[in-house]
Amino acid sequence: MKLRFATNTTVMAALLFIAALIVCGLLGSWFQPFDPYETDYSAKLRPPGAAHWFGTDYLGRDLFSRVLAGIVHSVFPVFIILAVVSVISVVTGMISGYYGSRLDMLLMSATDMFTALPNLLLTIVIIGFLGVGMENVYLAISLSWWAKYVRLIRGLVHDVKKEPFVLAARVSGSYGLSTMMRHILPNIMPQVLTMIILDVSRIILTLSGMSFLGIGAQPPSPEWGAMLLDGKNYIQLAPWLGFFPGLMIFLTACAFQICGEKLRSRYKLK
Amino acid sequence: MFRLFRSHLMLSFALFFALTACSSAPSAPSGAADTASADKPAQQEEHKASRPIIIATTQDAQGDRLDAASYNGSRHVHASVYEALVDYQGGGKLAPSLAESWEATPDGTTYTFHLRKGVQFSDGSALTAGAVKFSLERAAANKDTAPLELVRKLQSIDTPDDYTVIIHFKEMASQILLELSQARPLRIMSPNAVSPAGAVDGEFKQAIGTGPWKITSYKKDVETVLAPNEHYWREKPSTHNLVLKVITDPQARVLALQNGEADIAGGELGNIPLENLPLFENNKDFIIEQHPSTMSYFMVINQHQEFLADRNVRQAINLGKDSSVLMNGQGAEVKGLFQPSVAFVTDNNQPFYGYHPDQAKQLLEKSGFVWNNNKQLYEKNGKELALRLVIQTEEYPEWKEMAEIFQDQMKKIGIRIDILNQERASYYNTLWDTKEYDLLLYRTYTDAQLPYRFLSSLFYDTKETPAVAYQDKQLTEYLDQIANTISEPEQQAIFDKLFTRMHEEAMTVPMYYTRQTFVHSSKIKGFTFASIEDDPVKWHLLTAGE
Repeated sequence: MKLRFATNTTVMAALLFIAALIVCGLLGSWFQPFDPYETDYSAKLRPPGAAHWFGTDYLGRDLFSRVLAGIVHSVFPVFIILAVVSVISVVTGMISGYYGSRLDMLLMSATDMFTALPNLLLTIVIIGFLGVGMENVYLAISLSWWAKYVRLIRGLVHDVKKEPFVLAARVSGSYGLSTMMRHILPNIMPQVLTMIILDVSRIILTLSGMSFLGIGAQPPSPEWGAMLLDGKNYIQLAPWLGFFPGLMIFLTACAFQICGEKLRSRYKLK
Repeated sequence: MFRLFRSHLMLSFALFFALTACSSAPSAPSGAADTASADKPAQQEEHKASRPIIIATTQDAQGDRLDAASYNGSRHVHASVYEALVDYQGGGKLAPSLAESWEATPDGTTYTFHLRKGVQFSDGSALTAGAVKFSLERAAANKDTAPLELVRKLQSIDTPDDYTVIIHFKEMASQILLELSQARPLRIMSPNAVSPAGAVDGEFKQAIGTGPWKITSYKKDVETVLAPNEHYWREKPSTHNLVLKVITDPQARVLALQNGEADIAGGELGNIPLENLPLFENNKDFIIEQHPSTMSYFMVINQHQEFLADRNVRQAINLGKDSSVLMNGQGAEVKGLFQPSVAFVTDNNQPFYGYHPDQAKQLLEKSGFVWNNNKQLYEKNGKELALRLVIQTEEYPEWKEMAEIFQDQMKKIGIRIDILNQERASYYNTLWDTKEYDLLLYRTYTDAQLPYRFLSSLFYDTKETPAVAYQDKQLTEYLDQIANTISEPEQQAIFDKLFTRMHEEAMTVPMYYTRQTFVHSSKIKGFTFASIEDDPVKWHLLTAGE
């Protein structure tokens, strides 16, 4: 039943790919043969070749440079979103799980309201209220994503709370915040991190998806989803316009998923 | 890992089904079957023999609400079903249509129309002066038509006999004939179209006109089927049905042409993205038809924005944009706001800015903007010279690329443009109501609405209703003067001054002069452009081989 994708070789490859992405993203223009925003109307829609590795788009911009520049717009925000989401959900989940009773009920019903709607739908609705734009997409994804973690974290806290060492800590006078930070959080952290890494690929897809729908990144941003949208009109005449950004979205999502799977099997997360 | 694999698998299946459903479901043109079962079986028999011609359109034609005296539905279907008293021939010229001749008193307050005899509506009843009076009074009773001159100034309509209509106005009405020639809402409808018959405020029942087509079936957001009007007086009625199929996505229209789901697409009613034309060039299965147009694309300027209130900035934008590279260089040389084909536009009355990025920068610096080398753009008091440009791509797919090229050109003169691509309804809301834009890509109207009607609807400024596009006292004064004379030379002289004023104040950014472009299957013969863009093709002359 269990397909073994997460072998050591694939995990290594995935890690290498992610490392390369991050380096290319951070060093940015260093690796880009052309300015990703520089237009050249005389070199429009060139197919992939020696001068332009991935070809050029309808404004004559170098696609390879744009795909590289897109890392900053398509992958990095995911980390920020996840940081925000995990802070919100860990705080809520821990308070809810640790204190229980009324507060727990209140927090859980708030969480249920957010989990009642599918993530994607909720994201689109929130963008509908906030307006089009990348910042709003980040906010919308964060708002629609945190709730699903809260339940899981709450469950973990429940389990850990009953462990002898937590009881021991409480008996020896450690209360509330201190217990949570020093004894509970370190013990649930591996599972939380695994869960988050497993979701990176989903958020990448959502982020690009929003741009592909035209409600995320706006031109001339080289966000991958937006580039995919640009490529749509040229799918018959210049298929490379959509192919390379699409390939990058696919590979990146796969790489994070493979790493997540590895962690999942290690920490026995369901 | 399996879970991921499974979800990917399911996603691929879902996509696959979605795609195949799109392409196969509507492929059998339901128009043929529907029309065969419609009201007159005997006459429909022969139509069933020849296959329907399928036209891809961007939006639903609202075939069940196509009241001639309203703005419901698509203009193109209005023009196919209903005819006007006079026909617009381009360049401000008019030709007889339902009215064989007409005259106006020199003071422009009384117009007399002599109707053509022997014209029948699609239900067989005769066109009479009573029907004309009914149609115009019904239009006047519609509150949406209030801005029309005919409605504002109408006093009474007399019908001394069955073929004479006399319209009296409260004051001089100079735009009446042009308004009457438009696709709506002043075209002539049979009194039997409403219930009770002939009641000006009657409930609309059925579209009955004298045009070459009548509506036989309508499925909301799917298609409208038009059958030939066998009583059509001008030329022999067609032997085909027309199916106006709604295909909202521009790419889907291209695909529909390629796989034979549609026979014709293009023009304003079913825009084919220009970047896709190479797919049909040198292809024996398709023919590309092009024809001059009167429409221009331009940018509306929000003069209340702090930077755009400065004339130098508006001029700089005009000097910094290069229209020649827009739309793959397919556009003609853009000068003023209006194309040379528009009435009252002459070779000498369209001053223009041309492409001079250096002058643009000088103008900005003259206005106190300072170059910020880090950001590579101009600033004033620490505020970036950044402008928000609103566009829509549902009806005008080429605007995105146009906006991006413009964005790039503005970057070169130190202006940052943020593009906001809005969905169709919210775009129009932004234009007419919320006005939350700095620049907004828009189009001029067409044909008889140019230039006066277009200018008055966007630039006429009163205290109660401020002008939509640009508020200028002088311009409004000129528009008043034009409305107050029916002498063409006098109007021409005022238009000359008006065009100059618009240019000097840089009230708009002219972008592109459109051409009408249609693509059709080479099985379709007899494609002929008609005289106005709202009725772009003489559909009844088309024939389809198998």
